[in-house]
Amino acid sequence: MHPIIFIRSFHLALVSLWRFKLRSVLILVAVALAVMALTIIVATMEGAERKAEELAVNFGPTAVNVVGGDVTGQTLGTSPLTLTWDDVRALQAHLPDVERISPYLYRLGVVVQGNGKTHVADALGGSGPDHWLHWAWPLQKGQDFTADDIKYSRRVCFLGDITAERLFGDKDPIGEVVLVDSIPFVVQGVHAPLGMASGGEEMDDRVTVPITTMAGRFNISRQHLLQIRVTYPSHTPSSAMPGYVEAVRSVLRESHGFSETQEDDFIPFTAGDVLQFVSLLKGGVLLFLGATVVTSILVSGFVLANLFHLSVAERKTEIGLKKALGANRSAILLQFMLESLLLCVFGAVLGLVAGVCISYVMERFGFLSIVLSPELFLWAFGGACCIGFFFALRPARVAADMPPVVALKGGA
Amino acid sequence: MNHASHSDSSLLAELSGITRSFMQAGRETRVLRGVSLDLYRGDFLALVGSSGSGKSTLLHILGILDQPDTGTYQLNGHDIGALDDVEASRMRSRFIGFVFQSFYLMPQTSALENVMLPGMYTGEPLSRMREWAMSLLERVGLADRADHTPAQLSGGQQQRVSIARALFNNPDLLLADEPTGQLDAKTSTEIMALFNDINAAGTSIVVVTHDPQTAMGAKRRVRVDGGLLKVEEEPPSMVV
Repeated sequence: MHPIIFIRSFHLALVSLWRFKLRSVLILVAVALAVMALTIIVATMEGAERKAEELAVNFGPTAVNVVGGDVTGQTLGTSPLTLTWDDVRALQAHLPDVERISPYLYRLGVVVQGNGKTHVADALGGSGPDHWLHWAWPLQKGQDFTADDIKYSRRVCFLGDITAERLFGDKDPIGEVVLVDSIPFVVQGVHAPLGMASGGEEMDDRVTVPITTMAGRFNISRQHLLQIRVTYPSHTPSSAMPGYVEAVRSVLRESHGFSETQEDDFIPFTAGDVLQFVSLLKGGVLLFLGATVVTSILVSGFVLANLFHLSVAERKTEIGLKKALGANRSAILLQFMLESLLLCVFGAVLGLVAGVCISYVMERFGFLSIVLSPELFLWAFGGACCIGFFFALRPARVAADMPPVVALKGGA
Repeated sequence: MNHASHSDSSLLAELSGITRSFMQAGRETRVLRGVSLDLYRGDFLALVGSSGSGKSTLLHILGILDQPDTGTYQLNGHDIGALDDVEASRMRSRFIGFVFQSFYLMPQTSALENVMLPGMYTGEPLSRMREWAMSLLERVGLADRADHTPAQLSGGQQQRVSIARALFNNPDLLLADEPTGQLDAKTSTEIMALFNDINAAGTSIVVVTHDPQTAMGAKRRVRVDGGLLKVEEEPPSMVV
């Protein structure tokens, strides 16, 4: 076929779309809705991906967090105290590559009083010096624990973002005295908020005190720890992490005097596990949303196919006339396919704009986080063109194969 | 194929032994029962007959819009029976122009663009097409209506546009199916006069009509009756 004929078919297709405005608008809306759904879902999925990566970075890509308790026997929210200071010493002795080993104590629920108010915080934590560095958890203001704070079991504390806000509102809590379970502490810092994404509000509603102070003053076993965080140097490649996790495991098992058949009584977590968990979650969501997208694409495809079948029946005379005037089978096929593809491309533009707007609004209201990537545009236009191509194929072929005489008699 | 007139250069189209049947209500209806017809260059033929006589089917076969069941059709020395879709379209585009009873103009499209429609399926440059379409509108007396849409034109004017469109690819053979069927007597006479002018300029014309007045405008008349060519009337001494 002559290339000019191809270009002229565009013109003829546009003329027809304009002539049958109602049909065009209906198809346009159907395709736009499908593309809108696709856009929102792709944007959301990519947003979740980015969030997961942030989570992994926040967690610390080279850290192994070991929590007490065994995988199968542990009730949610409880952590049997199976980790001890002996484990910390064993890890220090056997893992020379490690940059930091950080023990952590933890208790659910603590009464905090300050500024004339009383608040029950979700948790009390005990940490070592340089909490920020060790747990990759910045302070939004104040001073980190020093080695002396730990050594002398000083009564200083950090407040979580929510805890500080509840007690002090907009007032600066640094230097204020608060009562933690009736014991006076000086507020030395405020944790940066971690938000929902990092494991719930309890992360932001807590009081952190020096680990030695916590062990000494809160009736907590001096032997046991809730968590031990092992941090490898930041240049450690992620491929080395599984090996390091194994090393931590075997040191702890030996320290616990376990035989080979015994189950672990602790759980090591890495950034990889966080990512895996998120992607598992994402997989479920993707399946559900994917089904929604496929359904809306199919629906819009059937709308398009139906209206095109009607259109072909309605336009028999036009088809017959064009054949009589020298249009061959492919010219008719091309015109109907172009009509469909043009509608779908316009629909994709509309759907993209609508989808991006809705995603943006949802992000503004905090429902989800989105990423607008070039792939998004590819998905939208690809999806739309697939609808336009596959669902118009049959009606276009019916039109192209129509005998000219039948077509001409159809409208007379 | 050993027809004597095969080498006759004045012969434009040659139908012989054409039959065509259609299935109607589960019954086979023989619309053409063996029709042979020669068309000469410069011919102006009226196919007359009652409705259902098969004259439209014969016209469709002449226009390569329909294929006969049996029989042969030669147009400009080409065997039409052996053409595929692409070749048939090209033959229609090159040799044949159509004029229909209900004009079949594209609505909401200017007269000029309607005339250009056959050119959309050739590789002709647009500027030349526009120029040529304009000259055709001039020829049918509608140069001042080039940008009017069909709705803004009278029936007679619409038929003139469709005639200009039929002439766009310089056809050897112009086929008209009841071209005056929707027009009043005066306008019909004008349209037939236009056909006469076109015929005088060298284009052969076949007009299907059931109107004797219209038929009298042609050079000769052939009656189709019961799927056969019954009477071939002599050209009248005087052309309307």
